[in-house]
Amino acid sequence: MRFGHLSRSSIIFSFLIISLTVILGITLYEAYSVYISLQESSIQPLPRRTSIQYVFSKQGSSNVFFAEVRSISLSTSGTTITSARITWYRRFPIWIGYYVTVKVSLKDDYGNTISSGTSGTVCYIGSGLVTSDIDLVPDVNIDSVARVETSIDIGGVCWELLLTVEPTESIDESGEEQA
Amino acid sequence: MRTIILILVLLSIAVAYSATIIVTEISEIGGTDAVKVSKYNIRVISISIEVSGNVYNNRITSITVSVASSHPGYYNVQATVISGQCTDATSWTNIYLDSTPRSLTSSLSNQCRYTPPGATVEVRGVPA
Repeated sequence: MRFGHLSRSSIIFSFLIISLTVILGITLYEAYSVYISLQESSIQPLPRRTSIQYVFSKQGSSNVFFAEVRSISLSTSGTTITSARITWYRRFPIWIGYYVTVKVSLKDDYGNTISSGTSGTVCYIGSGLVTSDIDLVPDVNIDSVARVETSIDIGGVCWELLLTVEPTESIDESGEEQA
Repeated sequence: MRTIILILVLLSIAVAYSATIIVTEISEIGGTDAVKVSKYNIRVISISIEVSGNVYNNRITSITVSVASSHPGYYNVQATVISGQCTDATSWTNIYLDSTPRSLTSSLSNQCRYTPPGATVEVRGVPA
């Protein structure tokens, strides 16, 4: 079979080339037509902040000379942290007092302090739980806080023996101070 | 001429198939508002620890955390206590969290000594 001047082999080759081009064309179309569909409900939320660290401070050296944090609670207004409530226990001799300062600092992912506050220095004697409400300045969003650090600094000896109880504290019958 | 066309077609196919999604970080998927992919923040409002006694050489026996999430859903929450060389951990599985803090309490098995300069508690939450 002959078509004009074309030989049989040329026709077959042309047919193969045309077929290959069509197949490649379809493949090309399919390749560029890849569509990825994502629906919000079908995938898990992505992490922005997965963890927070709290540091509980403890200072002292013996059974009659130590102070330790028992509880850290952040006060928030919406997602803004305004203050912290630290509940801590101290055990000092009943005949001598020590100045104690409680501090709180909030740190971001890079270890930078973004907010902080201190309770002020107060003289304490004896033992008991103490609650310290500490204002944090400036106010920060809770989602930017990676680490909450407390510190209890036991300072020098104080002699304000009977004037050690803060106005916000009371003493129950067991001798434990309560907020 | 045919060969050149054929090569061009093959190159086009190669480019098409190599145009896969290249994502260096998975969070890029939700990087724009055009693609609504939720992101969550675990929020730990408070942590309390229970100790074995009001003595210097006491141990951390249990922990209570108040935790919330910016994105409502079920989460696995883990708390890890590190004090000195000691590490203790506890977890809560399939806990529903939303913006309202939820209190979770658990005893600790290792009961690490609570020694100066103190202990670090890390609370972690991931979708269940």
